[in-house]
Amino acid sequence: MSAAVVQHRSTTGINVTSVALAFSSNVTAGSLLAYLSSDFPTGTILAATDNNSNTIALAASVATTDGDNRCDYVASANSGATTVTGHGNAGGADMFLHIYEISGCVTSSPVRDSGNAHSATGSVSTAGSTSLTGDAVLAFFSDSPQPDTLTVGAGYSQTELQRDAVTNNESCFSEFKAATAGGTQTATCGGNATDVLVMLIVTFKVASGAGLLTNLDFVPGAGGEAVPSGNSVSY
Amino acid sequence: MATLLTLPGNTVLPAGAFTSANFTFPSGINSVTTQFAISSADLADAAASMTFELWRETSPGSGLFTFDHGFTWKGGAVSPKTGLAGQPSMTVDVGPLANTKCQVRLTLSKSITSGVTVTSA
Repeated sequence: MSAAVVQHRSTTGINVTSVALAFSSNVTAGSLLAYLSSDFPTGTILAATDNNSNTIALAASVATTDGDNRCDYVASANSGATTVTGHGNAGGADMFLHIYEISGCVTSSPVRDSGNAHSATGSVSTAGSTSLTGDAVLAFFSDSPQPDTLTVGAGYSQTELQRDAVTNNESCFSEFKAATAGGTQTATCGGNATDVLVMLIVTFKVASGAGLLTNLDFVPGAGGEAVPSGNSVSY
Repeated sequence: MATLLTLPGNTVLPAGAFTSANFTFPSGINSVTTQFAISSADLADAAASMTFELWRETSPGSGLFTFDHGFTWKGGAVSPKTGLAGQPSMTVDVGPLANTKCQVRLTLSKSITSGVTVTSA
């Protein structure tokens, strides 16, 4: 079984100190929740919070002169209505918040790998190569000073895009995939003109993935018998 | 684009809690935006602050509303990006708001003069 997105949503607040957004539907107990937040200007983003007594931890973050991205997560969500708040500069900032509910991940210490990049290429990879088939892969791209309409990269879906093309000219884009192969994970996006993007990628451990099981040997125990030829095992 | 709620720019919003009239978003929309037009004097007032919330009816005709999205704003702030005291605004993807009755709820630290416009697209 691979990780899968249950629901996702996004918002942007301009010249605000925080933004809050409710999941469209009640969250299922045990789901992994990912809170992707970004702000402009830099150096002001704080940990996201929620109103459902969840334990929130930081998966990864990146701070640059072009903006800050962070990914907070809940390893095992409490059930019910859940509102997430992204916190920025107390003096006012432009806040972006993308929220995802993901099923099929482990419920303890779920972060597998992460990486970040700060360039105009629209590509970010995990720092390590430990991710497994079926892992949840989330990527987050922040774009300023032009509010480009960023587009989904190969292999990804479940996207969110928020653009401020009126006031301060910024955009943020996120995308998801269940890893189809183990190893280093890379996410790309299209649509960027020349802006230097702030990019973050995080992988979360699949609860029971194809990548975890590559070979099975059946060895009869004492007095036992080998599995007859032709039987199959599903996992 | 449809405009669901408009308060003119000379509207005096009282200190404390304010709840708008109900309005219903059309179906087939992708996003909802709320734009404030706060007077320049109040934008510059560090003692002014506001919590904006948009609530939606939990089920048609129930009369029960639940929080959907919102922001906090504080006066006297100058955007480091623009060097100006900018107007607060918020956009969300539609989520459960299409064809749903909603209302705006504000909580203000002091009275301010501001217009409010809620649109869908």
